[in-house]
This record gives sequence, C-alpha cells and structure tokens, in this order.
Amino acid sequence: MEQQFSYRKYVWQQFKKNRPALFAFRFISVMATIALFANIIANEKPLYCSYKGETYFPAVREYAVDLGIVQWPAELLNLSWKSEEYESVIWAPVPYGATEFDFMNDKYRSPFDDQDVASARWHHWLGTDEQGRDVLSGVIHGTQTAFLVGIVSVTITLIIGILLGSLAGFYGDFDLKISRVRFWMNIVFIPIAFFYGFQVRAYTISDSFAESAYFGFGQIFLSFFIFLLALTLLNFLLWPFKKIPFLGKKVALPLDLIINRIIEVVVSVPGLILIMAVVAIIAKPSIFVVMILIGLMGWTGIARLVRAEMLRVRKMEFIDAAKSFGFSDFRTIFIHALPNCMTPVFIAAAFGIAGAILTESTLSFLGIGVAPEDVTWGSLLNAGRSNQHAHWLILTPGIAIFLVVTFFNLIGEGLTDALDPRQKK
Amino acid sequence: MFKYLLKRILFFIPTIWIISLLTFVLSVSSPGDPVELLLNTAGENGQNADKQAKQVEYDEMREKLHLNLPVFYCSISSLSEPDTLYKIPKKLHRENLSRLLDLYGDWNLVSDYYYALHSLDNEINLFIVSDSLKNQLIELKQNITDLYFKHDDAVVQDRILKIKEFTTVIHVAEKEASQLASKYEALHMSEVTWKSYYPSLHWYGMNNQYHIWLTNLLKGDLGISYYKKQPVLELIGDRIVPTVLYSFLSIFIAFIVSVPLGLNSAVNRFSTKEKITTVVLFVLYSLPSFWIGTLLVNYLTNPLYLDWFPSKGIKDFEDSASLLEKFVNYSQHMVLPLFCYTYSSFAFISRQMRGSMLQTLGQDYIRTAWAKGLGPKQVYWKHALRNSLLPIITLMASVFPSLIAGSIVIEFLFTLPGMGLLAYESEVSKDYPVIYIIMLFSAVLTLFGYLVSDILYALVDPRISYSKK
Repeated sequence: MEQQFSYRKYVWQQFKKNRPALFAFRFISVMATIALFANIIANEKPLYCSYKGETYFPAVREYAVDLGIVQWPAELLNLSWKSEEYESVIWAPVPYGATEFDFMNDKYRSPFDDQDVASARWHHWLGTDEQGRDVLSGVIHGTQTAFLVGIVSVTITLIIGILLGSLAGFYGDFDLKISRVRFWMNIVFIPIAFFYGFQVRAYTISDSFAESAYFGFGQIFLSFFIFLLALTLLNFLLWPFKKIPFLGKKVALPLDLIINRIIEVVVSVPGLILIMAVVAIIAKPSIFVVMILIGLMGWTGIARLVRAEMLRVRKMEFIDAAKSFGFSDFRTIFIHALPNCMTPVFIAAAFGIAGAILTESTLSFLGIGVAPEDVTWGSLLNAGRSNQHAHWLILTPGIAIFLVVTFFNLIGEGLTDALDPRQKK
Repeated sequence: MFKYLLKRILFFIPTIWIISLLTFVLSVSSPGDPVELLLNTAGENGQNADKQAKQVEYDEMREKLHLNLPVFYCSISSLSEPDTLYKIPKKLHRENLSRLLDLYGDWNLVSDYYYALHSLDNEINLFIVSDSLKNQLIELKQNITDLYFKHDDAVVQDRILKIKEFTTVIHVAEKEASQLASKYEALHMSEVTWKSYYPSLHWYGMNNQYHIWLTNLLKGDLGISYYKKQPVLELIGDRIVPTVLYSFLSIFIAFIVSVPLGLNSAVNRFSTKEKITTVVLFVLYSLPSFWIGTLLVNYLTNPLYLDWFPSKGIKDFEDSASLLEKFVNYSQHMVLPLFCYTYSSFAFISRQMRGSMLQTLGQDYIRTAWAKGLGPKQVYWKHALRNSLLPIITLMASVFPSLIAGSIVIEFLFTLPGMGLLAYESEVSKDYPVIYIIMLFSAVLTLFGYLVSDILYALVDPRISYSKK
C-alpha cells in the first residue's frame, strides 16, 4: 500500500521522540481540560438540583450566563445556594466557588487544621485565605484565567506578528510600489481617516470603556474598521490622477523600514512598565484588558521571525511561479509563502504562552490590573504574602504557575527539535 | 562600517522621538486635572474670598505648568469645534463642554449655555442670605457646581429644574436661572450639523504644551510628582543607585558564571552531570522570580522558620560602624535580592551560551583545529569560545529591559528603595508623571542598550558586511 507522507504526522512522530516534551504536552492537556471545566469541577452552585419542583443544572448554566447567552431565572437570581433546601442535589467535586466566602472557616484555615465543616465532603483540601475563600477552587479557576490569558494574548500576538512580519519580509523596502500621487496624498488621508475612525467616535469609545473592557475594545476594533474603510474610499478618489504620467509614476514604499521602526519602538519599552502605565489610566482595569495589552506588546518576536523566514522564502522558485501565474500579492503571500514560514512561529507561540502567563501572574501578584473579584494564581500568591504561616497560599499557586510555565517551555523545546532539524543537537 | 554606525544612530533619533510622543499622549490622556492634583483642591466648595484666592492660585499653577497653551503643534478636529477650547481654564469643565459639543454640535449655543451658567454662578456667589435660607442656598450652589460636570440630558434637566425652584424660593438671580434654562433648551433643540463630520486642521505654532514639555525634558525638567510634590528628576535620582547597582552586579555575575557553564555543558553534553545541569538550568529559567522571592522572604528572613537574612534590602547599621561591619551588613542585605535578580538571566544566558557553543562546535574550522593537533583547551577556549561569544553580546541588550521589569517585583518584595519600587508606588498612588517618566527612562535605556550592542557587534564581527543591507 502506498504510504502517504503527511507533514503533520511527521512532526508528531518527531515530537513524540522527545519524552519530556510529550509528558509536558499530556500534562498541559489535562490542565486545559481542568481550565475548560473549571465551573463544573469547582463551584458553589450545585451541578444538579431539584428545587421547588423544578430541575436545574446551575453549574452548567453558569457558562451560558457568563457568555451572555441566557439569564438566571428570577427564582435563582439571588439564591444563597448553600443554605437552601433542595429535594435532591448533587454538588460539584469541589463544592466552593473561587470568590465564595466561607465565614465559618476564614482567617487562613490550614488544610491540616480542624475545619468547621459538615463532613469531609466539605473539607477545604488546600485551606482557605483570610476571607475564607477556598484555595483549591481558586487554583482551579486560576487555571482557567491563566489559559485564557495565554490563548487570547498569543492569538493577538500571532495576528499582528504574522501580518506585519510577512508584509515587511515579502515587500522589503523596494518591492511595494505605489503611484506617486497615492504616496503623498495618503499622508493627508491618514489623518482624515483617523478623524472619522477615532476622533468622531472618541466619546463613544471612552463611554463603552467605562461600561466594560469588552465593549471598549469592541468599539476600538470598530473604529479601526471605519479607519480602514475611510482610507480605502479616499484612495478610490485618486483613481483618475494615476493616469497623469508624473503623478502615476511608481515609487517604492519602504514598508520594511517602517515596520522595523514600529518593532523597535514596541521592543524598547519594557512590557511590564508599559502595561502598568496604560492600566493606570483605565478606569476599570480587568484581566481582559491585561490580556489584550500583553498581546499588543508581545508580537515583535513573531514579526521578526516571520520576516526573516519570508526574506528566505520570497526568493524561491515557487513564489516566482505564483507571481508568473498572475496571482494577486495577497494570494501569493498568505496562501503560498506564509505556510512555509510558520515553523518558527509555532515554537514562538508555545514560548509566548508561557511568557504571557508569567507576565499576567506577575501583574496580578503586584495587584495591578486585577479587579478585586478576579481570582488568579498571582493574586492568591499575593494573599499568601500577608500571612507568613499560610504556606498553602504560597506554595500551591506558585507551583501551578511554575508547572504551567515550565511545561509550555518544554513543549516549545520539543517543537524546536521536531520542526527545526537545523537546530538539532 | 562608519556609514552603518551613522545610519544606526540616525535611526535611533526618530524612535526615541516616537516614544517621547507616546509618553506625552499617555500623560495628556491621564484622568484628573493636574493643576488640582498638584494643589490638592479637588472639589470646589468654600467661601467667596477663599474661592477667589484659590482661583488665582489655580491660574498661577496652570500658567506654571503651561496648561494654558494648546496641547500640540496642530490638531485635527471637527469644524464645529472651536480651535480655542483649550482656553477654558478647568480641565474638567473643558471636557464637559467638549462632551456637550459632541452631543449637540453647535459651539455658539454651547458657549452661550456656559456663559449663562457662569453668570448665574457669579450672581449666586455674591449673594448673602439669612440663616433660615442657608440650606437652600448651599443646595442651590451644589446644583450649579454639578452642572459644570454633567452632560447627560436627564441629569442636566433635573438640575436646571431644581435650580429654578431654589431661585424662586430664595428670590435670587431668577432672571439668570431662567436665562440658563432657555439657553439649555436652545442647545437641546439644536441638531448635530454637518460641521461635526467635517475635519479641520488647526495649526498652533511652536508655543504649545508638547514643545515646552520636550524642551524641558531635554533640559532635565521632568515634571512634578502629584503625590510627593517633588520634581520627578529628584525622585529618580534618589532611587536610581540601588537599581543600577543590582542590575550591573547581576549582569556581571550572570556572565561570569554562565559563559564557562554554558561552554562546559556544550562540550560534555553526553555526560550525566551536564545533562543534570541542563535540566537545572531549564527549571531555573522557568521559575517565576516573584515566587522564588516570596519563598525566600517568607522562609529565610523569618523568625518563624529560618532567620538567616534581613528581610529589608536597605542597610541597618549606625554610621559609626567599622568598615568591615558595614561591608558585612551590606552584603548580608544584598544576597537575597541579588540572587533573585541574577538567577533567571543567568539561566537564560547559560542556555544561550550552550546553544551558540553547540553551533560553533559543528563548524568546519573546529574540525580543522582538531586536525592540526590542538588540545581541547586550545580548541574550546580559544577557537570556539570567541565565535560563540558573539551572539551573547546581543543578549546584553535584551537582558537589560527584563532586568528593569524584574526590578519592580524584586524591589517590591525586598522593599529596596529603587526605581522599580518607585514605579510600583506611583502606580498604586496614581502618580502619573512619575510612571510615564520611568517608562520613558527605561525605554531610552533599553534603546541605548540595543545601540551599544549593535555597535559592539559591528566592531567585533568582521564577517558581517554592512555596506549593503
């Protein structure tokens, strides 16, 4: 039978040879599962309950409520879950919420102390903090936050990095030719488009930021879209002028130079300090803002890698072939050239997730950019600092951060070995 | 070569300029009125004479901070927006007017309303009332003050209604109050015109806030801290020594240890000992420094567990102590913070050194060196080391920013009075000028780091040709 060669299969085979990396991959998969099902594993709401003749699945419903799909039914809205009488009920494996106060067991109750709980079922297996919040539940929900931070910020990093890196690498300083009239008129057009995108909508944006970070970034995204739309429309106006020989003469746009300057600016400001500076302005900082800021700071490495790969790839024959077929630049870059530049990107993404989680936990450790109700590994660790006896508050979140960061780094190493045989020992 | 260096330095300037612009934009968009934050006069209550004195003080401070000037050389705004909005003294009033303008789009009506409000305010302030009506007057004044900050239609309508009620009760400034009401009515009726969607560019010339800010910056005037009321330059000057000392010491130690370590680990890469070293380095590299710091502070400086080191990073001895005592004391204090500063960059550099050494060992000239009969010492330490050190030079630059960022956590943990702790403190107390200047400062330092490492690289590595690239 004919064996079909699959690149993905080959990489997986190579990756499997690296035993620590494979172990790390499995461990991270388990952690990701915990993150995904955090609300079911640890929740103060029951998994299933029969209450006043109706059947509910509150812990599952919580996902939908968090996403804004459904609302709590009125009879469940202000329910104190623990003190109600149910006809039948199944509690979550860890029957405490991350932000639930257990006033019977507050003031740093150690896991090994006697706890004021009904039975071993309700034991705080990792102790509690000052307000009686369950540390195990905090660590489980912190896993969710950490993975969310890693995924969201690295996604942003990838989008910006790949886009700018491939443009800079493919066009270089000389290959993007635009007509003279476009070159000069766009210096005027960009401020005008900026006016329509951002200036006109300035108060809409700031009002929605005051409401919530989601709306705020949504509005900024919309503004950016309007900016691009306005710029495109304005550029259509120049169509007739291109026919005049002097104005229509092509000049090179030094895209590589511009993008490299942008990279230099972003790289030069230490990310942590810039995030601190921006968070200081924002009225309602939240984890979501921090995630986005980490993403906006971290794309430079990926852009550089993609650019370097693109410089190599664009000289290859198949790119010439694509060009000679008359494919558009867009198609040549993103369908033909880019897939051949992705090797270092996967590696950088794995390391990037580790870095993003580390940055976020540093910030929440310092208490910067976290709302008081957010529970993250960093904020748990910070809570442990104020009580020197509370080793369970210092050790567990710290070990969690360390393991996740190490294992993402290990995956990065494994990917390096599997994807990039040039660097092989 | 010279050309390359010149080009490199020329590119350095626009980058710094853009960063300064970014800093300025952030500092302009920070919330609150800088003048009031500096004068500590948030809220506008008080007696007449007091109020006037405060107004004078406010204007003086505003002049001193050059906030009476336009923000930038030019501005893009809608045609409906006047180019003289910056002349309205109070920042919060200005913002509210700009809001109203955004809502209704006719500057003439907005300014009519503002003047009506102003004249009502003045009229009421001159008025002295009998004790029985005092409470009403206070409430009336409160309502008027509110109007300066509100733009939401329902709220404004409500306040105006209340003002009208109170003025008829007290019999004061009824004319002004109804004037205000009619002006607001006119404003409210007006439609947003095409003018709001028509961009216009204003040119203000050199006499603007940014220009003065930038020239002051170059002269060394970095602004005044809101919280400590001290010049920022002084604050940074007080705090820079520990940070620089620790950073340089830790870079030095990291390089001294990690170069031979990385080299050895690459050379004997098949021995068990080196395999363990690699694993340890990897673990060290991923250990978060804030966690290690917390553990060290909690378990090594604590009478409950092991009280080996002092927990604070500053000296605690009399000035009369002998030199040896001072030295011992200083070094005791420095061990833990220095360890935290160093270990992660040390692990990073070692790993890089190992990688770069491995690459060098695969080169042809190493085989040549072996072939001509050189001993291991000659081959590794002379031929291989030199070339594998080259990429490490560039690391200097990238280690530096992470040290500045790391200093925040470590100085916070050990209460070391350095730049990082200053950044943290000003973040917590919302001391914007200090945060932004630290940001600018660290960016400039980092850029210098890159510049120096690029130049060094160009000097040491003769293989790279810079003429074409």
